[in-house]
Amino acid sequence: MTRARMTQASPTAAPMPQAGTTQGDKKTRARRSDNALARLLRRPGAVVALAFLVLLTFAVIFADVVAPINPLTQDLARARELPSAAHWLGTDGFGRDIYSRLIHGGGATLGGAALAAIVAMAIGIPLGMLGGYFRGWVDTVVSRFADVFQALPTIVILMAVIGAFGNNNTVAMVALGVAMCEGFIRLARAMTLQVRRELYVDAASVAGITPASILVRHVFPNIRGPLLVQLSITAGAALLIQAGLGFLGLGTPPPAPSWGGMIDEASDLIYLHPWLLVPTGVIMILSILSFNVLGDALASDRPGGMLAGVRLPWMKPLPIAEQHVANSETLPADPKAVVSVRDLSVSFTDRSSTFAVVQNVSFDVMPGEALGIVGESGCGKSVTAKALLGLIAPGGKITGGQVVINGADVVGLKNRELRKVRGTTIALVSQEPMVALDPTFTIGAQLRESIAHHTGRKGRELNDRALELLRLVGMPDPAQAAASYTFQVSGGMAQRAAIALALTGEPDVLVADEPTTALDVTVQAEILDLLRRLREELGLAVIIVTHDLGVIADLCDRAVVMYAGQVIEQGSVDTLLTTPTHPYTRALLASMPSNAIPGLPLDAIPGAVPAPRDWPEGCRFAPRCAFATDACRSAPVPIVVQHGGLSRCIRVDEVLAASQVRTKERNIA
Amino acid sequence: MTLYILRRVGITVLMVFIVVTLAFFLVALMPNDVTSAILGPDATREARDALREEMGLNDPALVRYFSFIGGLIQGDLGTSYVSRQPVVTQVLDRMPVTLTLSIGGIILTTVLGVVLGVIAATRGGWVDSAIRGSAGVVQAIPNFWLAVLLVLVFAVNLKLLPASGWTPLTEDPMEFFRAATLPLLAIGLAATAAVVRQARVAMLDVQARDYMQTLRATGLPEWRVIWIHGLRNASIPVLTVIGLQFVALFGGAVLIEQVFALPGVGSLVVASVNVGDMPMILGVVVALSVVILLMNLLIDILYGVLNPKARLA
Repeated sequence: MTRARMTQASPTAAPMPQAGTTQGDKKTRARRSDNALARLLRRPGAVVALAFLVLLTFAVIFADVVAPINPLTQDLARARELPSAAHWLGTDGFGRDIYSRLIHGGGATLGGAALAAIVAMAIGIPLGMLGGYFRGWVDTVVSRFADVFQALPTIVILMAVIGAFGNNNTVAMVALGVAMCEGFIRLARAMTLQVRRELYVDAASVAGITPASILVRHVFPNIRGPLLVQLSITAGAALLIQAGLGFLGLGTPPPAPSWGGMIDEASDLIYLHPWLLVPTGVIMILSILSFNVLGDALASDRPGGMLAGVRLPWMKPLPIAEQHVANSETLPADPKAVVSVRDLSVSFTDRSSTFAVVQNVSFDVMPGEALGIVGESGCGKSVTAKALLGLIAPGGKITGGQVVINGADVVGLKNRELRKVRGTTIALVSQEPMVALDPTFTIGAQLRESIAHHTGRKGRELNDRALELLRLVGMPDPAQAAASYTFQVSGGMAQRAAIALALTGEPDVLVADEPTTALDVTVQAEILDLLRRLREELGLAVIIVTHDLGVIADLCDRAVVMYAGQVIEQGSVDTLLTTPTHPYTRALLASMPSNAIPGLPLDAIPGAVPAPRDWPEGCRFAPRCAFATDACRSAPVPIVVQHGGLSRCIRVDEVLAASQVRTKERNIA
Repeated sequence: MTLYILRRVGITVLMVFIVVTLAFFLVALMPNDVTSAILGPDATREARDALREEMGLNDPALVRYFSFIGGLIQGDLGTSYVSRQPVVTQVLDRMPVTLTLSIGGIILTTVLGVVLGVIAATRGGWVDSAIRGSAGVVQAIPNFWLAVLLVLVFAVNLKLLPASGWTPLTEDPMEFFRAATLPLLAIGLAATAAVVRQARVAMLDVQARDYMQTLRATGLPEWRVIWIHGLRNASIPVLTVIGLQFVALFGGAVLIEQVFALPGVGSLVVASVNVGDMPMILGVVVALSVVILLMNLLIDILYGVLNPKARLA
């Protein structure tokens, strides 16, 4: 059942083992588990849960010492009492001590739950490993076995077992373990399948090591974390079922104390002594909660398990990261521009601080113009591009500046107002075409939905317009494309569909975020051709975000070069590509394979883009720059007009001189 | 799609067969002497032997298995040891109450769970913390304890709703809702918490997907982005959990029927276990698994409808 196997991310099912943890020698494994324990102990909830369970276990094991009153001693004269010094939690309908009955009754419940969880693990792990290792019919049998138990209410199976074997807690708990082994089967199976795909298992088989020892040696170390999670969840669930049986008078027959049985007694006395419900309920809820909290904490690496960190009004605000920025003169916006960005800044907040990822970005886009935004990954170019539509990832916000689209500033607008701009004035084409469209709707359905929203067209007209758009973006068979899902078409076709979707609202500006990065080289050229054609036919302005100067050279009139959240150079593509004024642009150009000097190694830029919180105080490129001096490092550098463009460099003359020398070298070579 | 459904139906039939076989042999190989349950501990050896012969208990297990399967195909689940009535009629008599509880419970669970889970994922902040925190606590509350607490609060103290009893929906809808409210709450709340958690995680996962950004960038209203596109994608993993919770609700019904003294399959099986009425227990196990597997089939089909990848692959 494919459906069942996709449940791994669910909180109740076994968490998917983390990819990439399989390689690793003994040393790293040991360190990993230490980390897991340390991580666990850093969570206050997990510590409390663990402490509670440990204390409860000791209390139950040494019940005679902790609760010396005989749990079966009746004293009808003192029946139905509230808590007192003699009876800490009061007495039940027969005058028996509730505290003592809870502690003594915990053995059957906690011990039973532990037994069931261990039996489940002991059966589930080997079965899952067999299925995952041998695959084929063995796997089918094992998976069906797991499905059978998943399809039956556990408590009803247990009642059948008790009916057949008599009322015995141990037998019932072993049966419960068998019925609950399904989670362990799936876990071990997934883990084994993953390990099996790794090459070293083949290597070990070739070396003549038996499958059994391969499994034991390579699966067990990786399975430890998820196994603990599953064990914790299973124990909590088993506790609930054991108590349920007790409630029905099965498992541990009265008068022996059991948590479930005590709730049954409480329900009989609900009119006379409702207090009885409280102690048993509290201890059961706390125990199950502890197992669940522990399981959650152990599984916190899985997606969605991470706490986002809630800030409440009375909490101290998070510190703001120190990121030095020079005061640059802001050029007035061109009144003819369709998009004018001025001093745009975007910040993100995580657990420890607030930090900017884009600072004081300014540029204009003229109607019908193609503007490139270029830079390495992590320079803030994508964030800038999406901020134009008011799209900021969770945790981030625009902290300053203006984005004037057709004369109106859209920064600070509510979503409702932003929606009027999105799609109709400015539209987005994103990076990964295969995941850019909703996989559960056909391409046609998504186009029609958006066309209907923007134009109010209905029925036949709607469909005609969708097909027209698909034809416009160069789909060879628009009708078939409209009926397809994105996972049924190629990357290039999916990107065409995404462009068609962006055109549904007939926008003036198209923001294309790395539109060709995920595509094959030949398809890249086709998509660039399409964008060029749309510019010409529809008069669209295009803002193209890329790390590839080749794309800029191919398509753009002007370009903005970004580094570490700032614009560091801006100008027409012709001058930018021939006489760059900023060492970063120069380095980017030199690192292009087409600009390499034959016989010399390709000039890669040393180092990497610093993370926002590590931006240097002076020029942010200085640590990687061949031209950097102490003056560059001492203070932030403003962006100023020089040599026909804008440049954020104080050594422009040296850069230009060096470029001339290099051009000569190249000509000689 | 037809092929997909046919394959699911095939798997369901196979599963019913496996479950029935397992249940039969569990019961057939039991060590307990059923004759003492029927005739009492004082019965003579001859009377016991005669009874065993009459009930066909001396036949080899395989022979009994095939006659059981033969009967099952004709809709016959044998005869109760205790009442000497056909098992089928008694199970069918009791089924409506249990079905109402579990189906009502799953509707409550699905609606409440999905709505709260999506709200938690999309709102974030303290709303998310509050929903996630209460879901965690509610999930740890045993349903039978909650049931007794609800009786204490709403029936004993506030005297708003009856503490026990049942009126079928077809007889008197008003009375039905009065009688069913507390049992449905007791049975559905823990399952709701499980669905909330799954829906939240699924929606968080979907929220981070590129297509959600694409849809927002086209200017679609936020409610369409979240409740149509987001929910459809998030519902794919959530459906699985709803299927599992449906099974859990049947287990819960056994306990909840005890608390509220409801005439369902659960109280029938509890009574049967106490007297060792094996044909009845077997009949209930078979009937419940058939219902659950049919529900699973429905969920599988729904899964195929919602997820074109599963249907077309």
